[in-house]
Order: sequence, then C-alpha cells, then structure tokens
Amino acid sequence: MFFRSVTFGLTADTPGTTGPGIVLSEPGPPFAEDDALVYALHGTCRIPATDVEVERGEVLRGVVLTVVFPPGQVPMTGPLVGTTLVFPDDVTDVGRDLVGSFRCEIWLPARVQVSYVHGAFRRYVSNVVRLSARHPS
Amino acid sequence: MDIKFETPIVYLPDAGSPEVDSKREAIRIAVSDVAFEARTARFHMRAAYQFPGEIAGRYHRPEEAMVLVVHDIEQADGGSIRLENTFVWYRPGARPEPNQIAEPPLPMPGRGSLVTTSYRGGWLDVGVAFPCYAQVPRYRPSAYVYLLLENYVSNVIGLDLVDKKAIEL
Repeated sequence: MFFRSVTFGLTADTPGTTGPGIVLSEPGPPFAEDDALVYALHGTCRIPATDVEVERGEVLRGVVLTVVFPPGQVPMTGPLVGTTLVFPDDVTDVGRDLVGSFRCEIWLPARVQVSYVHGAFRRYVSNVVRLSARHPS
Repeated sequence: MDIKFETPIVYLPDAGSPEVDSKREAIRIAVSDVAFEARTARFHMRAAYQFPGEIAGRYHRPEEAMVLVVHDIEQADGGSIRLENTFVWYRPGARPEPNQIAEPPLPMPGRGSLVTTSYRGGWLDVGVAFPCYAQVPRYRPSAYVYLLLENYVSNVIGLDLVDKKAIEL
C-alpha cells in the first residue's frame, strides 16, 4: 500500500467544507494496474489561519492517511505529501481559514478486497471512507 | 513511523482510567507520563470503550480490534498499531482468526446516536513509544494520538514534548 500522484487544487470531486476539519470524498471504482487496484481519493483540509504557526504549507504537509484492512484490523499510516513540495499558493484563503485540497492515489494489492481509509490533521479526524473492489453503486 | 508497546496491555481499570459517556461516544482515552529523551517519545495511555452490542458483536475480541494512530506534525509522519497484546504468545489456532466476524452493513453508519439497549465495553492500559528525531519540536503540541474502530473515533489528545504533558483537545 502506498500513496502516490499527489496533486493539489480543486477538482470536480473535491468535497466541500464549511468549518475547520478534514473531509474525504467517497472514491469511485478503482482502476486496475497489473496486480493492483488504484483508488483516486479526494480530500479537503481546512483550518483557521491563526492556527498556522510556521508556514501555510503545513495545512497539506501535516495530513496523514491511515488505511485499515478490516478482517485483521491491520493498519498502515503514512504522510499524504511525503517528499512532494508544497508551495504557499497550493493553500488558498477562504475568509479567515486556510483551505488545502488534494487528490491522491492509493495503491493496494488486488487481493485486498476492502479497506477503510481516513485522514487526520492535528486535532481533526476525517470521515472514514470504504475502498472496495466491488463498488456498491 | 514505528510505534511500539512498552508494556503489556492491561484490561483492567485504575484510578486514571477515563469514563465513557456511552450515549455520545464509544471510546475515550487519557494520556499521562509523557516523556521525551534519546529520540524516543513515550506516553502511557488509558482507554475506556463501550460499543453498542451489534458493533462489538462483529468481532471475536473487540478489545484487540481497535487501532492506535499517532501522527507527528513536526516530522510530518504518522504511524499506527493494532491494540493486540503481542506480549502473550498463543498457540496457532488457539484463538479464532481473523478477529472480524462480519463486515458492517452498507452504507456504513455515521457517528450518530449510540443509544441502544446493550453495550459491551472494557478498559485498556498500555505504555507506548514512538521515535521523534527533532531535537526540540517547534509545534506544541507536536504529536496527536487517537483510537479508532471502524468509523468510531475517540477523542484526540495532543502531546507537548517540550513541556512533557498531554493536552486535551
């Protein structure tokens, strides 16, 4: 499992937020890649500008994603951004808040049929979304 | 980030154990004894959990189904570990595996009302260590801790590694 192809900015699937926190949108069906399934995950992280101590890129750099494989509750956690550079204009000002939107791909072996994924940024924990090879819709 | 348990998990309450308001939350944690030396941060976590019977019934051992997540904004990294008592070795086949009996029904229920007629709960008490390579963290708190089962999340506690104290958020 790893996170890759992280891009910043709004897309049609970016979830909206009205208050501080982090939100993930329910991913669509995965696409197959060799022996793996790749899910495109969209999310938004929004915090009050006064909470940023060092520089605004930390709105995206501080996000970690956790994938839990439910049968055995095997968890895996990693940073969203990793070594990708975050520039100040990747984070936008909305009123008195700073908003960072992202899209990333989660690469999972095809034998992993179901996983739960959620994100966390400081005190905020996102909703839990379900990654499934057999999408219900 | 490699998180380790430093003590066996104790499933009994003590004076520092938190209390769960079972109508509003499923898991509550309390952190004490925060220490930071030799590039290792340590803390002691006490947790109480109380799940509605139909949620706990989806697991053979709900006390081992929860996942502890620690993330550190100073290092921009995080780690997670299942609350499984690896200090005890069980003969293969002695306990039913996998721990999950059934998946939650779809769509997954939200974190709404937890009011029901039957609950199943308990306590956890464990010492945890994780590496922190910053000499002096710039952020206070710099690391955050919470517990999770499915989509039931506990309160989040911040760890101030400079003052060596836990901050309720």
